[in-house]
Amino acid sequence: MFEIQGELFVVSRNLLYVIDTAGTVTELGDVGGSTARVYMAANGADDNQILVISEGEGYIYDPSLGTPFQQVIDADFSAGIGVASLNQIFWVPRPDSNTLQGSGTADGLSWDALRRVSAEQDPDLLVQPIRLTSALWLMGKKTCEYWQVDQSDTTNPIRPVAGATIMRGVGANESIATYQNNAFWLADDFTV
Amino acid sequence: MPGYTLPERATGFFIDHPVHKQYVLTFPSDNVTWVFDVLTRLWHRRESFDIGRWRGAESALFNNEVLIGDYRLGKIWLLTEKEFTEDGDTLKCQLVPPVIRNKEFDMTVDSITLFMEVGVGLISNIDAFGIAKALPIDPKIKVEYSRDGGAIWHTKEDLSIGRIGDRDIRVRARNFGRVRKQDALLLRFTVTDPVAVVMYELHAEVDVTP
Repeated sequence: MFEIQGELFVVSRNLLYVIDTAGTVTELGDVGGSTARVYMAANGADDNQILVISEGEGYIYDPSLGTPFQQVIDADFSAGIGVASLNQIFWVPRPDSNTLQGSGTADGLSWDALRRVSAEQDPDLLVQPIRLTSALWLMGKKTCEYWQVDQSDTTNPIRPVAGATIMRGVGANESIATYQNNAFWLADDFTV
Repeated sequence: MPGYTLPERATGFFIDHPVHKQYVLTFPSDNVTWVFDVLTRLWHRRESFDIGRWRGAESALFNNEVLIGDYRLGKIWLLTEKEFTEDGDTLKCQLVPPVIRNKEFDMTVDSITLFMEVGVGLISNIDAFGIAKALPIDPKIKVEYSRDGGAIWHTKEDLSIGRIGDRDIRVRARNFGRVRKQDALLLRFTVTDPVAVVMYELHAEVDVTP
């Protein structure tokens, strides 16, 4: 479930719905998958594109397009689990790697192979990115890296902050939850 | 959270409750759900009736209401203090306080008093079988104890927590007997009636035998 601007987006099994404040439910369509958790984020563009990540596929809901939603078919797009949005860019991990890839600015249908960064403080795999305040945490299997906005780099406008890595990783990929400026997860030593 | 089967499959989500912000962590292979309350900084177990784990799998604060997604039915529920069942299923509230123990001396536990909200019974006088009773239903709290670390629980008694408006009720169980210094007394309190359960404090009256 994902709430934004008075609308609640819900995926139940393979279908995406939107619910308004009056309780009216509208089916938007099929996002594939069946039982795996889906992830959603909005990119903050004028019409707030919403990216739904479902079992390795991406779907963009954008009211301005006039269609319920579109599947991301860019050849440079490949998604693991999770999605975070920062400065109108969607960031998703590439599967089984330490690489994070970014969408076009305010354009979740466009993905460039050059807009990629690697979490390299430790040779662990990237699990998923989360956004806290105006920064990203790249949550890995063994470490969690803190990345800030870097406006001087227009291709990859985020950079790691030296010395801000947590030497504790994620023990359960789907355990990560955020609230305001806080994150909770089952760590790789199975503490919370 | 050690000792669970396939802990890497654990799933978590956050409940943005107006007062009790909660992190919910479920171990699906073991059918167990733990909840961390940010306000009290305490963990508790949460179960749906006859399921083991809690049915909640996702949450959102929407339209000033806390919504919960049901992993079994694909439905969305409203989390509210005004309802005392879970989709009609019994909502069981259970408290297991710290053990009563004195390592130096034997003791006799004369009484246990649970300070809680009383007089919260149902307004309706229709019981669970649809039979009208002469008086509003009198909700109960089951008091159990164990002397072997929780392996075997004995029912002490079912105490009234008061028909609606009955604010003079005292929730007190007596005569738990002698507890040797090498042993401990465990207590367990359970409410299954569909009423609000608010517990504040537990008071034990004991005689120590030097």
